[in-house]
Amino acid sequence: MVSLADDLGVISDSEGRWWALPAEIEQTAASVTGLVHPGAAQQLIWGRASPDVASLILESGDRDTMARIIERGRQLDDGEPYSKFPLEHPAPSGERWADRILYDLLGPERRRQQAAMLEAIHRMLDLVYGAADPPAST
Amino acid sequence: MLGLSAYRQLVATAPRPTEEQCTDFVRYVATAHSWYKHLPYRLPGVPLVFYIDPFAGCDAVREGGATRLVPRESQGFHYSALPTMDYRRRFGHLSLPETRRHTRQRHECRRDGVTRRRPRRHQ
Repeated sequence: MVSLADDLGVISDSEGRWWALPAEIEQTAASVTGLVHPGAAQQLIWGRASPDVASLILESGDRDTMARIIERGRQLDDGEPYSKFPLEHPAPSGERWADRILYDLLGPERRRQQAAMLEAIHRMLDLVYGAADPPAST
Repeated sequence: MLGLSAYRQLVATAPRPTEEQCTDFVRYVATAHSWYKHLPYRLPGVPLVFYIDPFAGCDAVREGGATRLVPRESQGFHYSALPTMDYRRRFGHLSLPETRRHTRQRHECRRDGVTRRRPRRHQ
C-alpha cells in the first residue's frame, strides 16, 4: 500500500521532464481521512468501534452523534441487515457496502472534509492565478 | 527545484477552473472507488494536494525510453480513465497526486528537480 502522505505531486513540462510540485503548492493541502468517502459507512469500520475511537476520528460529531454511530455499528456487528439506500437516491458512486443510517450519521464529517478539499483548491488557485474576484454585490 | 514562479509559467496555458469544475472535482474525488481505502480513519488524516496540471486527463505513453503525455481519445478500461475532452470539460486542469499514481510509480521524483525513471514494482 502506498500512503498518500508519501505521495508527491508530479508535473511534466512540454519536454517530458518531471518535476516535484513547489513547496508552496503542497502547503495548500487539505487533511482528509477515509471518512470522506461514502464507503466508510459500513460495519467493517464501525462494528467494534468504541466511543473513544469515535472521538478520535470525528471532528464534527457531537456526543449524541458519536453514540448513535457506535450503536449502529454494534447493531450491524450483531447481524442486523444494512439499511438500504432508496432506488431513487442510490449511494454515491454506487457504493454497495454502505449502510444508509451510518451514511446519514457520518454526513456532517463527510461534508466538513469535502468543504476542506474545496477550500484547499481555492488556496491553490489563488496562489497560482491570484485571488479570485469577489462575487458581485447585488 | 521547481519554484513557484516557474510552476506558474508551466501552467500558464491552463485556464483557471470554474467554481462548478472545482465543486465537481471534489465530488468526484470524494466518491471515487477504492482510493479512500488507503487513507487512515484517525484525525488529522493525511494531506491531499490539489494542483493545476497542463496535462490533466492525459495518458502517459512510453516512447523510445521517454514518457510522453498524450490526450486520451476514448474511455479507458478503468472508470477514471476519462477521455481527455470529458475530463477537461468536467474538471478543467485540476489534478491531484492520486490521479497520477500509475505515472508516478514509474518515476522517482526528486525535490531538487527532474525525476528519473523508477524500476517497476513487482507485486
